[in-house]
Amino acid sequence: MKYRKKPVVIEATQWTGYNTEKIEKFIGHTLTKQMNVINLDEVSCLIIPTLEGQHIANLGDWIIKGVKGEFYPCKPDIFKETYEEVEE
Amino acid sequence: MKVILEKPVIFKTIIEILGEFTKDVKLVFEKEQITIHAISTNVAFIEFKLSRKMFSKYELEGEKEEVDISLTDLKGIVSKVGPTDVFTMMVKDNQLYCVTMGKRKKVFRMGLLSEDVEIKPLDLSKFQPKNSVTLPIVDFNDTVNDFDAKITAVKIKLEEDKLIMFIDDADITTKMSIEIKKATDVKINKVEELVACKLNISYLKSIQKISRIATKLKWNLEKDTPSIFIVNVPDKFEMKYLVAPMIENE
Repeated sequence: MKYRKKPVVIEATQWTGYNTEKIEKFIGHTLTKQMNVINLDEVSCLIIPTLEGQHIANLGDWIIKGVKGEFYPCKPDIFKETYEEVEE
Repeated sequence: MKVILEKPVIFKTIIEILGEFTKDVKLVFEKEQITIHAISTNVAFIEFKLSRKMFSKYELEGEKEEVDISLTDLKGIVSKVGPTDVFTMMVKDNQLYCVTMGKRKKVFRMGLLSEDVEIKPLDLSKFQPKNSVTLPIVDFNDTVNDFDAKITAVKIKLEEDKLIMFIDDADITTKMSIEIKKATDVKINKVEELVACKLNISYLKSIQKISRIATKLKWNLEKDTPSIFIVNVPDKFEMKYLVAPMIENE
């Protein structure tokens, strides 16, 4: 048997390295941030609590809010292949 | 350049640890030591200094020689070096020759990298965490291994008489804490009132192999500052390993 994924609309925000507050607002709480060893004023990655434990979001990753309200990071190339913007 | 190691286990372990960090590396041969730096995803920085005294032969063409090589390839070569083999490295005609002499003689030849491997060494003197704990590496390894493989980060607290590593994140169902108490082989030097930090546990696992070649680890820590792990075996080698902290709230 073959199956096709049902089209679903999700909310997502891309982490640019400069919009951590926006990501935290999107998720609804503050996140653990991994500092950069070369420049301690910079954040190297974010720790995203997901249904399968803590996942790391690197620069450029999208943070997706799933259909059940859960959050998880997604690599930018996968996101581009899987999703397109919806006109509101 | 031609150098010979009668006991290659330290060099072999160093290359294996570095292999967790980077694919290419620059070996800097100087009069008294070989220095190697590596950085991992801007989170951890490692510096190894291997003393000239470890070598039975140590010949350089000048004061300093830099050798840029594929660490992946070198790691493959050192994996074939036995603990009692004599290991020779020699640079000739832009090639690195590695020869192991044991029951069998093995000869490897690899091209030096044409592009310069650029790893800017960190100025380690600007990081001076005030507090420290010195402990057996085996205790450090056992403690790190006790945390579940699914755990990303571990919190660390230093008290007057103990080092505590724990997890209490709201999104983790099983909270856990492990204490290492002050003892004859565990020394604690605490200056700050509250010493607490959070580190990515995978970076603590990256240096566990160091237990093959040393017994004691000094861990310097301070709130919101990179932790520095130091392993120093006089006349043999020194490792300095920096891991940037995780920040929970800003």
